[in-house]
Amino acid sequence: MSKMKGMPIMPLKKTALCLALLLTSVGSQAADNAFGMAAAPSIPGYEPSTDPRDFSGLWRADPAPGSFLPFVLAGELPFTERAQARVNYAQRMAANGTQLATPHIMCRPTGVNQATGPIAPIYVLQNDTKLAFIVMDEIRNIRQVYFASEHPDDITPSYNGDSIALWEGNTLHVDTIGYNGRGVLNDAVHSTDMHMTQTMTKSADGTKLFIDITLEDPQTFTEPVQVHREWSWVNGQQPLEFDCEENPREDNFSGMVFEEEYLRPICIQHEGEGEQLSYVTCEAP
Amino acid sequence: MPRFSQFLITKCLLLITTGSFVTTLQAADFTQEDFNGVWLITEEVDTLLTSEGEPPPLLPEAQAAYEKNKQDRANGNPYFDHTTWCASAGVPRLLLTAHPFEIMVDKRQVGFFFEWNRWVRLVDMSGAELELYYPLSFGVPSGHWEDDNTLVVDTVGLMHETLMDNSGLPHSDDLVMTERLRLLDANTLENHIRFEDPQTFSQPWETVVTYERQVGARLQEDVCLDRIKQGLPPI
Amino acid sequence: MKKLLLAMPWLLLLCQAPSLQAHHSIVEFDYTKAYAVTGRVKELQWTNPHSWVQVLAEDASGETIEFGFELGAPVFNIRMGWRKDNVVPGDIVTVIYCPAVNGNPRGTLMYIHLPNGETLSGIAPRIYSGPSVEDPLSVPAPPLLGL
Repeated sequence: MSKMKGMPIMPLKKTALCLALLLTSVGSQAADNAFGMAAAPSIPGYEPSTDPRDFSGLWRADPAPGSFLPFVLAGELPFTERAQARVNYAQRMAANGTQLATPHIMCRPTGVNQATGPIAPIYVLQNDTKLAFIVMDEIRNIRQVYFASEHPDDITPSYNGDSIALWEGNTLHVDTIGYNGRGVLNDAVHSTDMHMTQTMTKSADGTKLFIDITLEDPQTFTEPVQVHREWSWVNGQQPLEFDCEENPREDNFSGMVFEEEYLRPICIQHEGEGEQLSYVTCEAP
Repeated sequence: MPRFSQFLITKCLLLITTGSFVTTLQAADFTQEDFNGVWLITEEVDTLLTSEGEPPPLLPEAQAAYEKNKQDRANGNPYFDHTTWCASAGVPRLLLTAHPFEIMVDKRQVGFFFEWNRWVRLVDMSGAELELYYPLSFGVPSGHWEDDNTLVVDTVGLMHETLMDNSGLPHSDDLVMTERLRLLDANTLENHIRFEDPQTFSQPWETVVTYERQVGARLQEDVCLDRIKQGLPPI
Repeated sequence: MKKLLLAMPWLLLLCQAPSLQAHHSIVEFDYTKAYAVTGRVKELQWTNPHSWVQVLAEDASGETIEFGFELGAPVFNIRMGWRKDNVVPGDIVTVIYCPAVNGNPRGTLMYIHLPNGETLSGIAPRIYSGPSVEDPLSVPAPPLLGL
């Protein structure tokens, strides 16, 4: 088994598990996602538009090259020493069967990941002022991209950052800064210096969005990282909900390591004794 | 009739008709796109009352549940309210609190973006019959434009785990909510909300609220879990 | 096969990253083992990020042990044929599951056999790599029950 730079050798049984995951996804091309689940029934009103400047509708991020997950940054990333140390730490933990808490697992917005390729379908609403990228069926997220040439002076750092966009012909250039330094990319925690630029174009028949992404963060990457993603048109689906905070079960967190204290939960659901139903308690922060 | 009286009557009639004509003209001037923008309730509603200012017509069992919630709240026992741990507040509650929301009119749906914990309601405008897979905190909303200045939103499938307001007003999974939103003027949005829930209320009832446009405002990214970790209230 | 071998480096990269899994790591459960528990449904938690079926079962000494069996989020469950009212408190069910690595009475649900004869599945069967569970009677009870 090959050993990649900076990574421990993975136990055989986990290799078998991941092979199974890959085979499952490869064998389920016709299904809606990598686990062979039935596709959601479609709703009317979602025909792709051939207007090259109309990105509205419902899209699904295609898997990243070499993966079945769209938000993976595939390949060997040019991490700085600081970032690589965190990657190594996270993967050592995983190899030992210990879960390191991440924003995604702890129900926070996932920032760059959501922008490059969320797992769930992406509803895009568009008007003359902005685009809104909305994910309902996984970590709920709304990312607003305003048509503007400059960012506001007073950006409050956030998980999603502040996004502006301008058209150049039929190409949309999106610029995002103002991240809060909590985002995780392939186990590395990126910094507040993260600067994401996206170049988005649409296929002539309106069924594909082509997105070229550049990630620059000198504290995390030694050089800019280029990512290419394609989003495919989806016939409309009824949006559902993903209330991630709904059930903070105690056993979800047992054994979890909270390297970042802000992720440690203060409200926990306990299973009741005997016939007593489950209940939640919250401690003072 | 004396000429001055005739003059007065004519003047009054002119004023009345002109005034109503101006009002009508203002309403007719609005387009669907005028609903776009960030809105904030004029006066937060902590305890829902009917349009007549009366308590909702609760059935006895629901009344008892409501009293228990109010008692828990007064005693500082917050666990009757799932927003305590940042679970969804749902609607109608997020239409009644002092948290802004944004409306974005799109060709396929009307988006309501609630700043509180980044919740989104996508109101389907296609007229399709939607599936009720299981109750949701925002239910299954579908809408239509009655005219350019009246947006009607019908919502079913509202999960009983949410509360209708901050005071703890309960409801069942059978709650049906009908909203009629219209602009009273360029910066004031009115929402007539009708509630029907035979498991909870003895009859349908209505309430009405208004929202003020927050000119130039943008929604902020709100993360409830981060707020409660800092000791701030969940809602 | 050649394609798979070429994909191996990417695969290893992917599998090294626990944050890529939804909500908690797949390292939590042992997908090479399967156990069967028959008991009474205490509670269905039809919730995010995971749904759970809580089942009360008796061990060899007659003591009641509560098991928690994990499903996906409701948005996933309905695509696998589940509805919120399939499992009702009080039902006697048999659950086939992959157990927690730490030996606690919890696991990820593979199949649940319902009183009406219906069988529903979780995501685990697509990952499971142990002996056949086609006949639930052939699946052993967890050591915890001492049966």
